[in-house]
Amino acid sequence: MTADTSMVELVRRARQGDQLAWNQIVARYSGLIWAVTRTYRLPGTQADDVAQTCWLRLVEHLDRIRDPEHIGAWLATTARRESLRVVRAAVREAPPPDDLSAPMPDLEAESPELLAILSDQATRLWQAFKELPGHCYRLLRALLASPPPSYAEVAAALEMPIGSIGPTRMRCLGLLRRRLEAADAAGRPAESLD
Amino acid sequence: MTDDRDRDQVPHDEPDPLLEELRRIASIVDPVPQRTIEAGQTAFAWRTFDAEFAALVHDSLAVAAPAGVRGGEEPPLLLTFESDDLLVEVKVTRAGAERTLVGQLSAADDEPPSRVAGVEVVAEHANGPTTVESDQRGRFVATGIAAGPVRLRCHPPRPAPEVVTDWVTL
Repeated sequence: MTADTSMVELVRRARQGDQLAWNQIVARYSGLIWAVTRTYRLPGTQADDVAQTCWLRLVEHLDRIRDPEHIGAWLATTARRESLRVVRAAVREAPPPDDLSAPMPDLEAESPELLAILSDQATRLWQAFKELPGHCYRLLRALLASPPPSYAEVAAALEMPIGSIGPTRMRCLGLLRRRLEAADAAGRPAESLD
Repeated sequence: MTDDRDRDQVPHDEPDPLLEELRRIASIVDPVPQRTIEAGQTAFAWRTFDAEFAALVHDSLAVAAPAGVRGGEEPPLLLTFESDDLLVEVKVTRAGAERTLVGQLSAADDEPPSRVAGVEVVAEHANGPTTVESDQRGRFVATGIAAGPVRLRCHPPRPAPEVVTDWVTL
């Protein structure tokens, strides 16, 4: 039984009211939804709201879904649209700074306790990752979903053509590597060197 | 080697050690919270049956504002939900952590206008439900709506079915 067949079976059972089948669907795709909200840098409470909206929508759409194998892309699209509305509504309420080129504040700062677990090297890597240009950060953050997303799901999450994911992934990882290597050579934290 | 049918369903490229290291770090510093997973599980209880569905067909924030437009100068968030028989338009404004919904019900062309008068509208949200009634022209106002997932359930006069909108994050 392939992974796709099992999702078809889980959806079939969920349609018939099987809570445990539903829970398995939630377990399978919560990582993807969370990663999408993080690509738009939503803070925790808003990420929670978007995730919950995605699941509430899916439960209403169970009977209408034609391709259960593509639920991941459906959820990623929903998470993207909901995240964008939340981000734009927040921006509209708070007038933008006069300097529109200033970086957005890091709204998704991780807890210090969790960061303290990391080695220095891992901390530098994570920090350099977060300082990547926006399009690289978003693509890589989406790719970090657990379990690893399909390219169809990433394309839906970012509204990117599937064919551009591979090349962009390569370029962005290359950029990250160059920044890390240059920083190590210079003995200081990685920053924009390009 | 995957066949063409499966080609888009799996990552194309070889695993990259740097990406896998980032994935490991992400699972430590930014995992999906357990509360988020549990909220997804409990969503199952919110499934409705035997109701007509009104999909979100227009979202004024789905298109990005032009660069340089400052906050406060744009129209408010406008959402439109459409079912076979009913159109539900909602203007959403913010009051701190709460939302105010100013709505307008419209009937499909061949429905009598009385169909949208005196309709019970129930807003389901974290601090809800909030129940209001539309006026003679199908307008309604709901205040104190909690930020987060929200949907509307409309009860037109029988024998018309209940109309339930898509959930949206406000």
